[in-house]
Amino acid sequence: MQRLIPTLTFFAFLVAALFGVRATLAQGVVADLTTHDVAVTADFTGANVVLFGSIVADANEDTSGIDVVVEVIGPTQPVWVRQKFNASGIWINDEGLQVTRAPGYYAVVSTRPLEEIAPRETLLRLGIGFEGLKAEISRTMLTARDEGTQEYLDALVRVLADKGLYVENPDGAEFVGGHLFRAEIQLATNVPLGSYDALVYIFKDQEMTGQHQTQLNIEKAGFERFIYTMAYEQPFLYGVLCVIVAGLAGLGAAYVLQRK
Amino acid sequence: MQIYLPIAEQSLSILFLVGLGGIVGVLSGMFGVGGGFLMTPMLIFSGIPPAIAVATEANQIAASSVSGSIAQWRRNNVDVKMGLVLLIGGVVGSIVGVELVKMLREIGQVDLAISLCYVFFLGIVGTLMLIESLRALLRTQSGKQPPSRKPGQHNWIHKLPFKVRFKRSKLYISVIPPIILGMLVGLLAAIMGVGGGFIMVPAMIYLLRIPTTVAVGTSLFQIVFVTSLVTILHSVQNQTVDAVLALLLMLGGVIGAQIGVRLGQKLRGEQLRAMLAILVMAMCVKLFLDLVIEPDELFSVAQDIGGH
Repeated sequence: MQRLIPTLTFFAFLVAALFGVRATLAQGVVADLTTHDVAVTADFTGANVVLFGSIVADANEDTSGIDVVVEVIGPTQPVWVRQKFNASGIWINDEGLQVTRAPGYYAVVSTRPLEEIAPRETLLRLGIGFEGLKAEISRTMLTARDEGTQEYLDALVRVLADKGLYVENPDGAEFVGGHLFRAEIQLATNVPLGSYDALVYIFKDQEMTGQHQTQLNIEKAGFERFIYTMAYEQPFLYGVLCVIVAGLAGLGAAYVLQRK
Repeated sequence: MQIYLPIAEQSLSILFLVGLGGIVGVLSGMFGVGGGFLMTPMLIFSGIPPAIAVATEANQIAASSVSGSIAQWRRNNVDVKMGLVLLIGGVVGSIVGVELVKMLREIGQVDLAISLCYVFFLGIVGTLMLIESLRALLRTQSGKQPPSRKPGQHNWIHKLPFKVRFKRSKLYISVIPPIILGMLVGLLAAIMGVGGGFIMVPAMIYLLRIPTTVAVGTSLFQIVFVTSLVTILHSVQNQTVDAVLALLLMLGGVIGAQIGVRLGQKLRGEQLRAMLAILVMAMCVKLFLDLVIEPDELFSVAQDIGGH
């Protein structure tokens, strides 16, 4: 029993030390999206998703030196990145680079430019920003090119950014008062469907001190959903239906022609 | 008003798509051409991925050829037996063509292959049409009669085996040439999204010596089945048929074709033909330039569809 007391005291110190460290490092953060489901219907022309969140802290603690970074990451898929080369006058695709896991959509919005928020190594490690994304992608790649892999990865991000599928916006997040912050993410018309992750990072003095994750679903709805699901899940029936519709349209036209 | 196309995964204006269907419909009604070889490049120029443009256009042609062949059927211009023989080849050609598209998609060369096919065929068709219409214009100016065609001669085709009697075409020939012709056209339907009438009809008239009216009717008749098959095969193998896009094009096409038929009766044929020839050549040149001019962005990203 007597030998137990120092041991317990030691553990008590250890726990206190651990919690103490956590208390200084971790910034509690809660956040939620204003909507978790985006429906892609026939008149879909893109959507704005708004995320609200708050840092859990004493009311009088000020938010200077605190930055918010919000990432929205779409479903990953294998893609090919190909470069055109001139083959006796005609520009044709080369054999390309196979990328095992590239998100179909990636947006990062923040209160300041990322390089001001955290050191480059931190961003690369956490996979934040276009540079972080490239690092993340190359970590999961199964194959590489003999040379120029980085050039292909740069191109992947550039091409998808041009299509509005990869977005980096250093003005997209802001504190709206006290500990409350707001981030706005724009989804273009061509966003892929599926389950998205929304990740909130809190940085204080260049250190990541808090993290929160939530989900976002982008689904086709109504007629669009019916068509899309059928085309991929019942392709034969879909093809037959397309032919029947064509046949009916043709018959209808012939009928109208005959009457006139 | 914009509409989201579920397979092409992009929004385009409804008015634009129906209008495009309408304009191509007018042209096809005016000249009696299928319109696929006009529509597919137009869709590609509008930003629809070539593989989706081709498969969807095959679906639209199925609709326009149904209404066309009903009209031909009423005039007794369809040689069903010849149509079925062509179709044997057509089935083989479409299956091979759709497989080829799938393979090319996997190695990322389908866009190039479709463009090359179009440059080649639009170039030939455009040049021939231009020569033909210029000649016709010169003839009407000089007032000469067109030279009459020589009566049917026996050529190498008549030496082939497996001869069959085709009553409606008033022919007794081997089934080999029609089967090969059908195969070629099936292949073109799958790769280019065209009915193939622009190849089939001249080949039937000049090579097989089928009467012109029967050639047109029979060609349309078999196009119904070949394009229907191509639609189903592309749906199953490539998931590239966009039903919403096809429906809008059909709508425009049906209306346009009616206007086209009426316009065609009022306007002078030779000049119209020359205009169409110039349009075809312009599209050929545009597709060719897109292949040879260095693109601003050399890189492209495509979904990996191999290894299912």
